[in-house]
Amino acid sequence: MPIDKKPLINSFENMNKFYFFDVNKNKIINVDEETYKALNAPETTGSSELPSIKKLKNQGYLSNNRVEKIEHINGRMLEELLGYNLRKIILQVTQNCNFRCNYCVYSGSYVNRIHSNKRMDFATARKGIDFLIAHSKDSKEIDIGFYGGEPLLEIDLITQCMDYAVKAAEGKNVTFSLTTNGSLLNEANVKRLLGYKLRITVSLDGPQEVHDKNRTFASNGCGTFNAVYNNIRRIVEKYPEIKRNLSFSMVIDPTAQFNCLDEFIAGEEEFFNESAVMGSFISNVYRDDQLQFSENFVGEWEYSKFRFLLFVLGKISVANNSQLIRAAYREHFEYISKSHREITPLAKQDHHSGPCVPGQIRLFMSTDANFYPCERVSETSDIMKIGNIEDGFYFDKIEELLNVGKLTEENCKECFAFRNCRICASLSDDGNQLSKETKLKACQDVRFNVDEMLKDVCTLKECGFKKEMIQMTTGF
Amino acid sequence: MNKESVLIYPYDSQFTPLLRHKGFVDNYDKIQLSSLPGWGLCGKDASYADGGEFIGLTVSQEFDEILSEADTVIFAEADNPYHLEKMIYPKIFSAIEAGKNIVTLIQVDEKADEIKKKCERKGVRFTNYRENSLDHTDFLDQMKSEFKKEIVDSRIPILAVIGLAEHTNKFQLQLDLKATIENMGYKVSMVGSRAYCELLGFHSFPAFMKEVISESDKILCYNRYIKRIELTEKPDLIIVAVPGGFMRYNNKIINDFGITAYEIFQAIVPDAVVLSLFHEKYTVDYLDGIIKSVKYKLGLEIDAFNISNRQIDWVEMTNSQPDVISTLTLNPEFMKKSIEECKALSQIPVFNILEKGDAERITNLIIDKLSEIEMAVNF
Repeated sequence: MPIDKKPLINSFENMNKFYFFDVNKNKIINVDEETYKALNAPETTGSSELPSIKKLKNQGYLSNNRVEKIEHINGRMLEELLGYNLRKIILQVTQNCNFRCNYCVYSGSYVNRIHSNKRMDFATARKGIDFLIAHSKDSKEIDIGFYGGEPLLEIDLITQCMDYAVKAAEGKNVTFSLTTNGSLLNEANVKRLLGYKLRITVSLDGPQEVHDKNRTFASNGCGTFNAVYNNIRRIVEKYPEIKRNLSFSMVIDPTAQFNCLDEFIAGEEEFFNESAVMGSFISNVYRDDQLQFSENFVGEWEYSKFRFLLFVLGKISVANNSQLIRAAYREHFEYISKSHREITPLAKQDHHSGPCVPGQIRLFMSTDANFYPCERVSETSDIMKIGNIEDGFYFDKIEELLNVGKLTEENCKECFAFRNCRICASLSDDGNQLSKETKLKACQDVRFNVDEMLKDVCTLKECGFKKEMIQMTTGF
Repeated sequence: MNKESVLIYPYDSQFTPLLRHKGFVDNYDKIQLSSLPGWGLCGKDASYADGGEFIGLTVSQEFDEILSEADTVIFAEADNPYHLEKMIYPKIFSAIEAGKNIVTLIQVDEKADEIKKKCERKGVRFTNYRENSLDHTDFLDQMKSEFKKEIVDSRIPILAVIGLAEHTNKFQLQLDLKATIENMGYKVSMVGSRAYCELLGFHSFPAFMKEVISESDKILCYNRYIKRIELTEKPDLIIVAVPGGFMRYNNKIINDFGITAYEIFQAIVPDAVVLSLFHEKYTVDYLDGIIKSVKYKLGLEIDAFNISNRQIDWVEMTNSQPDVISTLTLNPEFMKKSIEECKALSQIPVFNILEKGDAERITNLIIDKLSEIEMAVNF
């Protein structure tokens, strides 16, 4: 049978049961062994005659419908999306940092810029803010982010920008965000930041031994944990209201142990309560060498995830219920909460999920006023430079980044993860241009993760999981 | 008589249809527009708000500075959220102090008396178009005295304008159809979808439809209301516009579950229907579904689609799940191309009211249809 005549499904076994995931319906179907075998038979040889298969086809399952052309629907309206609907601008107020973290993307271990003394002046920042306001008439609210290096090295500029934006954007709900290493989050600085709708994300990697392993001061190479931790304690004590707008970002080092992070969060309940804790692994994107996960780490991480599921199922009363763990199940719960919905089959012209319109959601402006799709891409990669404050957007480049699926067009048309893909241009950038090979490596991870997610979802169903449990126990 | 100079505040896309309406623009010697800087319209032509054809009025960020040139200030309803206490009332009071006449299209109930008194003291006019006093008692009393609660047929053709939801350019459609049909020499009465239509010389959506009376009484009242317009105004055509959308959009945006639309079309039977939709990359199946939905929910056959230059902002709708539909403006060139693609799919004629000539094309289509009805030997 020609490949494009086969149904677009992913069949799998889980806990001695048989399933297939139907891409066109975005649904998992539990079938008997005979049907499963027939679906996986290399030739049709009458297997399509099985009554169970006939019935499924009558219900719209097992369709061989595929996307015929990989083309993102938003590519047709980039001028509008970027002209009227910008959501956020992230200002790189400085390229300098008072930390030297081992895993930092600006440390020299990545294909990216390195730390420098470049800073943004107010005239440039103001142009960036004006650009956001002028390009967001259809956005209900806008956000201005401050990023570095360490942005608090430029606190004067930050407060000047916020004062300006509040006035310049009168009538629009304008919020601010700041990503900081926390070392300069002292009382004097915090006092200056109060009164703005500002969300502060502090990088804190765990207990002292874990945090200090990677995060050290540039000046003396000493660990930074005490400085950050004590700052937070002091400011929360003095200004308790700040907690609601404080979140923590933990960069997880998979060469270390996971249990100590778990224990740290549990043991510091008062410190973390009311604040979100987000976790992410040390980035492998643009990295010169590949990061290796230690065996201990994988075991502990998986066990922690397992305990979280038991907690959600009501089988145990206490578990790590932090956002660190919840994030690992975000896709699962998203799938479960939408699983009952009828969905239209794949369109003839479509693009896999994953890419957002480059620049629309998190436009990143460097100190020298160049535009990038977001703060996570490499500033030295030519393809990622999508405009600047004087010229505006380079729409050709943006369209190329948005349609990253064209790199792997034939693979994408046959891929069961088409609707659940997370790949955007940043995962396909070889450091200078979009690369099919780089993207295909990312594809392997996505397909593995989606396959695992589908199996986990089936396991949860078998264990009596109900949609309502997501809200009740996790607040998703 | 000298025409007045008017200042509109806070200007945004909700007011743009009025600027494109001769019946409004011709009333004034000079029109100035003031908006809030965060709405992204200041320094641009007024047409930037709705993405339609160039208007030739620049939106200002200033209010106090341009106030001196105005005789009247219209405080307009806006699509953007606004804060009455911070953004509106101080401007109303400073306009009164400056001796300007005040017109409110915005709901100012809690301060209406204060505004009225201040205007009286200052000797300036205050017109509040949100005092919609049309209640049900007239109609129900009439039916009581007649000892019958029944629907009465209309003898005048009725054109219905409905929309899938808010922000589908429905108000522009009403204004343009009314003006175009009138230009052809017909007398048109209209019940608009907004609450301040009297400013433009036609009827607002009647207040009794939102009163706490039984649903069947609302239907009967609306039926008598249209009959009264027919008898008193003796038009050649009545245009009836339905506020909001005609069906639930999702679990959060319920569009009144289409109850208002249902009630109106129980009260009257239109002879022609134009339906306004968001822009989307439509398929034959989707359009067919819409046609069936209108047919079986409201009992109407659609004569024309108006595809607005607004598309649902799917990113916002998916991520934030807002209480109101969030939309994106589409440029005229894009719309031209897209409408052509849509025409190829649809069995019903497709238009974009912001495209030059489309108001005339819809009108011709409607008049043709109504003429066919006229040819029938009816009594």
